[in-house]
Amino acid sequence: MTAISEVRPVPGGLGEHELLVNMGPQHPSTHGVLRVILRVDGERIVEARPDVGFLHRCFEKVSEGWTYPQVVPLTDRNDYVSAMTNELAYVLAVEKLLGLEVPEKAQHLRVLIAELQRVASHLVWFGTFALDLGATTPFLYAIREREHILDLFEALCGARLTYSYMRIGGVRNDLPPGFDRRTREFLKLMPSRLREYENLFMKNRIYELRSRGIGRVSAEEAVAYGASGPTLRGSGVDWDLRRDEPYAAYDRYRLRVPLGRNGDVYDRAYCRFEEMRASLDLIEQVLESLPEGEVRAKVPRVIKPPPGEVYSRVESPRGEVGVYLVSDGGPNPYRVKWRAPSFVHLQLLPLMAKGHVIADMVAIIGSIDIILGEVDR
Amino acid sequence: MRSLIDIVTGFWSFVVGLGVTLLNALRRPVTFQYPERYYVPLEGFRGYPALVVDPDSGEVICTGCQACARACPLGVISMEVAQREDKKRYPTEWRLDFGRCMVCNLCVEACPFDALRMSPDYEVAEYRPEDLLYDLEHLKLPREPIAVSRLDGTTVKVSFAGGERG
Repeated sequence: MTAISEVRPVPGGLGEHELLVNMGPQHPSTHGVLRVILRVDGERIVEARPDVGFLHRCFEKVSEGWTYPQVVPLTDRNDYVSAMTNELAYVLAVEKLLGLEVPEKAQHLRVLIAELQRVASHLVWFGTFALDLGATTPFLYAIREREHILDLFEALCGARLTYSYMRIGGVRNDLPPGFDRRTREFLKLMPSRLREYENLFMKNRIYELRSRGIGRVSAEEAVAYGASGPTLRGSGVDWDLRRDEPYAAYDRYRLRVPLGRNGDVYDRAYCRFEEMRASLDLIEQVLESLPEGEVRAKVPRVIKPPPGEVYSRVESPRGEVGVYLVSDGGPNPYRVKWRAPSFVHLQLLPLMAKGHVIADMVAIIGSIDIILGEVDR
Repeated sequence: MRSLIDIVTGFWSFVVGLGVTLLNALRRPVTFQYPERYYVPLEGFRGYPALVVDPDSGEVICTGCQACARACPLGVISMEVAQREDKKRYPTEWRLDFGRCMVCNLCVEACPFDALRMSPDYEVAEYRPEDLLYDLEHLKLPREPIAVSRLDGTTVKVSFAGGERG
């Protein structure tokens, strides 16, 4: 076996007491196939270098060979924990390119579905984050509650992970019978469950000691590195695309944006956790004011947008998902560029990890909530 | 004094957490033993694209127009079409490479005759990859209604057959 230093030379060489440690790519706490090369001095991390690309599936190139509607199911595979938000980002970009008017009901449904997806995604984050920090039980509880949302999605579109629900010009179908009632039941159940999670984990003393002051990023650094979503808001920057640059029907609703102060693991986790409450509140608002009408605009069978380029972005559970689309007038996109928040946040990892111990590294990776499918695309 | 408060509050947070696990231990389990109790998929569940048959004749109502094959992003659908004496077309062979299919529903939406529907069958595991190449006989939906569940917890029998030959 060859040492890691032989495979990849360390810039500046290793110090006298330093050691290279390979974290991943098959480490259970790296949320997929992420390899982090750690230069450690004893237990302290001197340098952390993320090595990505193990899950690269040529998403952007494959999209160029497919027609516009065919790319929709492919976007599911980017960030597979919040597939709906990815689809939304893509269809919004195509609609912007076409200048298409989307029916009012579809706009509201998109908000409803995107927020349910946000809760589901944050539940997965909460479970795995707790798992990373050594608490197995919250994972089981979070997955149990997520199952309610997956049931709703299964009735809605027939799939539990890769939904293929958003369509160019609206959504695939209307809400199935019983959806409203089941969602309300879930809304009634969830706040008490969130209190349980708090008692079990978020207010636990051991957790607090392991997360406060770890992986600090100042507001200036977070902005400079292009962070977004809860990773940015954990540092106290009040920026949420749903409120500040509303898409779909977000401008019709009241949104509470939780903010952190210190930009450490605790604050980022707090933001994500509170976002679940904010989303539940938003879901209730949408259910109250869901209009009647069509859910899908009339679009031609072969979609050929006029030549041009657009950038469209949405607030995914992880941050800003941006789609840059170039059309040459043909039925296939000329270029699809995907701005994945996890990829951007991974740049912050060396900054966050510096000076902390290896056990904290796991907490830091958990707190930025990376999805490797999205990082590598 | 501060460290003492620290110990007490720290211990208390631990006890509160254990209280939550105790509460959950007393709740009814949400899982069930699968082969003993079958999972009934929700209405609209996407198993794999399958062919709707005419309830009377038992023949597929597909006309072999290739709309689904064109809509498929991966090109997993292929068919051979023949013409009957009354000029109506019908597929003699219909193949679905299910191993590569991503069950995106685009073929079902593309079908102008509603001759394709998603089968609610979810037990599709095979020992050999070549068994995932489905042919016409395999893809025929049953004439009898299939049990599916709804969000309100009820189980209903839904017919997957029907339609006029286009």
